[in-house]
Amino acid sequence: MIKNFIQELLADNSKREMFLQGKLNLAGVSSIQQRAIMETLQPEQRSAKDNVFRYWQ
Amino acid sequence: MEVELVRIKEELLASIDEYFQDSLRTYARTFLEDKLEEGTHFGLLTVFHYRMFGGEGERIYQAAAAIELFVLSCDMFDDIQDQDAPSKPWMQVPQPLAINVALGFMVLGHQCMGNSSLDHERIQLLSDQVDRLLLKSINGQMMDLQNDVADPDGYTNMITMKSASILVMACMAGVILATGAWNETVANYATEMGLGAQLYNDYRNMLRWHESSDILSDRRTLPILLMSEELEKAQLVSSEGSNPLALYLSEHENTEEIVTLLDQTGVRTYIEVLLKGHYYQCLELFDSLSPPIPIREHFIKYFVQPKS
Repeated sequence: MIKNFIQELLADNSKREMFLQGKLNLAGVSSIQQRAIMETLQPEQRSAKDNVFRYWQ
Repeated sequence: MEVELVRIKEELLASIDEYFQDSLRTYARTFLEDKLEEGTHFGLLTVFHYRMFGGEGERIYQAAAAIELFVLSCDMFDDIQDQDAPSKPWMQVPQPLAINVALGFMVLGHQCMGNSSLDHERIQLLSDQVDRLLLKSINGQMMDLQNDVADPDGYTNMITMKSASILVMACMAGVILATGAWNETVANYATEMGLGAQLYNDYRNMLRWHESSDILSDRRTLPILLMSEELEKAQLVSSEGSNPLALYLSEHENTEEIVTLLDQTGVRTYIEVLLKGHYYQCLELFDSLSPPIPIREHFIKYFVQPKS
């Protein structure tokens, strides 16, 4: 069952995100950190926020 | 922001002229001019928070000047201690003189702070908190100087004390003068800003590889700790050395392999995630104060988003 579930997830990107978020939730990662992870891992969501805090250099 | 910066500079120069004499005044003006040409101004955070929390009047510029003096003093001491930043004017004069000017700035900052309000209770509270935060930063600096960092948690603790305290001080000066009270939410998002800014600074420094002052001086920043661990895991350096990254770079002029390692091990991605996490945490805390949209946009544009 678990193997089938994993194969299903690997074949379907959208479900992979849900699966990953599920694991992050179980691990106690905060919602903010989850957002940071998901955005960083998805290149199409990259933005000016990728260059934050440069003011303080 | 330009207007605020002009006013802060006016207060700074007036204070220097009033309390410094002869060569102390000359050196102070030169060092201050150099500092003001930089793009970062902690005093602007003080003014911003004062206005954001309902403060009115012009005395806030005295407090902002005080914050600029404290930061300049700390920067000078830091450069002298690290013996880096050779292009800075205070590194091009005899060290005893530079130290004395830095000392003068620190004391002058307290003088300016004392003139920043007619409310003596607020001045006393501000003075107490500034001293507490400066001492916290000095303790953090001691950890940094002794290279006391052993792991990522140690790095975070050191940076919270050394660097984030300064940002908290700048923000809180404005808040205390406006409200007469400490604000824990402001302290928390200022801490996130400090952590994010220092991590970004340390990451950029490491990416200079052979020219990285942190690698050369064996500083254990988080990016360096992460890369050193990956070098040892990949068995590209001996695990018995105290500075794996420096050792690796001394043996490899070409940085292609180390850059590939940075990407393939996820270190680059991890650091980007941490930076983004600090950003979102900072904003979430800031938003919990329910600022008007123009205030929020101003905060992001001037203090959090990158320079254009």
